[in-house]
Amino acid sequence: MVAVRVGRLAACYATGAGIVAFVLAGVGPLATVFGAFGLFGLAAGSVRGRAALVTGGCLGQFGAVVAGGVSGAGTAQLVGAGAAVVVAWTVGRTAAELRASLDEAADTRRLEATHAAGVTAVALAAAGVAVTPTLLSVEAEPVGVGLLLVGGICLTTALALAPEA
Amino acid sequence: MTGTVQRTERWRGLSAAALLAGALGLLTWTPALLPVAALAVALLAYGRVVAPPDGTLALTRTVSEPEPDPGEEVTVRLAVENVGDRTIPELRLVDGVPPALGVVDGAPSLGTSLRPGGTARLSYSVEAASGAHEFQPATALLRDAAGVIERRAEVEADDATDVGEPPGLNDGQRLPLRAANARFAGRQTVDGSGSGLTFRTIREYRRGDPLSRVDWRRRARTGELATVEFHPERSLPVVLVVDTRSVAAVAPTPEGETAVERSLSGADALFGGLSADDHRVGVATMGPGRAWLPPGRGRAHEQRARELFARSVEQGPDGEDDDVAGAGADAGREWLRERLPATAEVIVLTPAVDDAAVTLIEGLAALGRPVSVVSPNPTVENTAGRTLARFERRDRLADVRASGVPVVELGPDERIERAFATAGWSR
Repeated sequence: MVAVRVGRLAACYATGAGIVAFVLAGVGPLATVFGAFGLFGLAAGSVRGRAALVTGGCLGQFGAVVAGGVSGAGTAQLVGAGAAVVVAWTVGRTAAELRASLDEAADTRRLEATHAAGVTAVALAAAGVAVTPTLLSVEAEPVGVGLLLVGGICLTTALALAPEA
Repeated sequence: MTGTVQRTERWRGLSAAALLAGALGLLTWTPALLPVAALAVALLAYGRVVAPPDGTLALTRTVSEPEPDPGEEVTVRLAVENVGDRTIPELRLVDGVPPALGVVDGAPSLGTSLRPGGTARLSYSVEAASGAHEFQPATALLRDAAGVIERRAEVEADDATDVGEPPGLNDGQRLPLRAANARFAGRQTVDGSGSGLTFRTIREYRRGDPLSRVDWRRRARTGELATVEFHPERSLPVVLVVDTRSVAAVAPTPEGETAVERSLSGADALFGGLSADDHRVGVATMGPGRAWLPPGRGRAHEQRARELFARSVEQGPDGEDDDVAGAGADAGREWLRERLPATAEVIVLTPAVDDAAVTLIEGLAALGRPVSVVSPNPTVENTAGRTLARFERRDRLADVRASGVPVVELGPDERIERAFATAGWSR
């Protein structure tokens, strides 16, 4: 059995997800620059086990998603890129965390593979939830759109600030 | 499974990203960014509703050699089985290796996922140290598939696993003691006359002398009554003070025995020898959590001493020291003074790697107790800093000797019996 260093599998997967995000979001010059810097930080942080670098890289990739959206990228493309960024962020930080918390010789391949698959499944499910409303054709009333926005902001704030159960 | 549940805060900042994407989508009139915000909200919702992972783990630990010699390599095999009915997507397990045992091969940790009935195994090797060491429960960390919520628990092995055997106390090192002022009958010959085993003189019979000490052969031969006198033999209360502070847990090489382990081995040998000589031996440790075993004799007492030595080795240098430095040295001396019997002789086992140890020794000598020092040498001379440490230790021991306290030094690889013989302490 080939010995794989702790966190290496997760680091490779995170870098792969970062490449997917870069390809999907890099539709304009600004998005490409953000995405390239972000991808570099993500890859370096994942491989070297630096969680802060992973987060910084993913922040750059998120900037690329936003810039790509402003440059005219499609909804599915942007949501896919966003989901890929979340996967890269989560799995990349796991790679760094495993290197910090477990012994170098520990066998973690199964954990890393399961975790990568689990995060991907959760992110794809969330992407599905996010994209589904855009597939529906409805007549948008200004009041309805306003109420929807207020509801979205309230929901986001509540989810972020709700106390622990 | 019980344990503590907490959120990992892995997606901290996701809510800000959601609001930012939504706001930029509105400001730049980019509808495509609103689903990106919705994606973040959906992930936040997942983080809120996901249940903490649950599972029941059964841990089996085996060792290749339960009673190894110090320095011998022992293979530890660990099997963890998910005996619950739910899959554990993410399991991190760290075995509770006793601090005194160094891992020399493999890793005592594992990361895996386990289906119901699934088993994960790991194997690693440790280097045995003197004394008995009990493995602690393994620490298990269970997380959901995305790793946003976790449960931390300790898992006990099916059977308590011990490595090593308690120190044997019967074949210890004998040595002559400094004091001869004991008040309890025993085998240490002292000046004066009385009952005992060593012949001293024959004197004229006096009324009241016990019949067992009348020299009946002389009576038969000469018709005179005479009484045989012997040197009285008394046992001494002896207290072994062992320096088990973290500062004393130093070794000449990373793989070598620490001075604390060598001090405890020395104390173990002395305890056995003194007990064999019928002395009443007590033990005090000056490390994390001071321990006191008053002088005594008998199997139960030896068992308590054995457990104390093993526990001290196992505790290792971790933990809060009852500092013996500065004001702490006075506190340590006071703590000992309150417990030391008035006639006790004290043998301090310390590497003397700091001034606090010297302060303690001199403080004990100032109390009027006969004090001796056994000092394992943990220093080497391969760098300038280590050479300096060696010189400083040598100066400290010179100060101790100058105050009239005899010191026996144990070289890095020297056996305690040889060191005592060299110093003329052996009987």
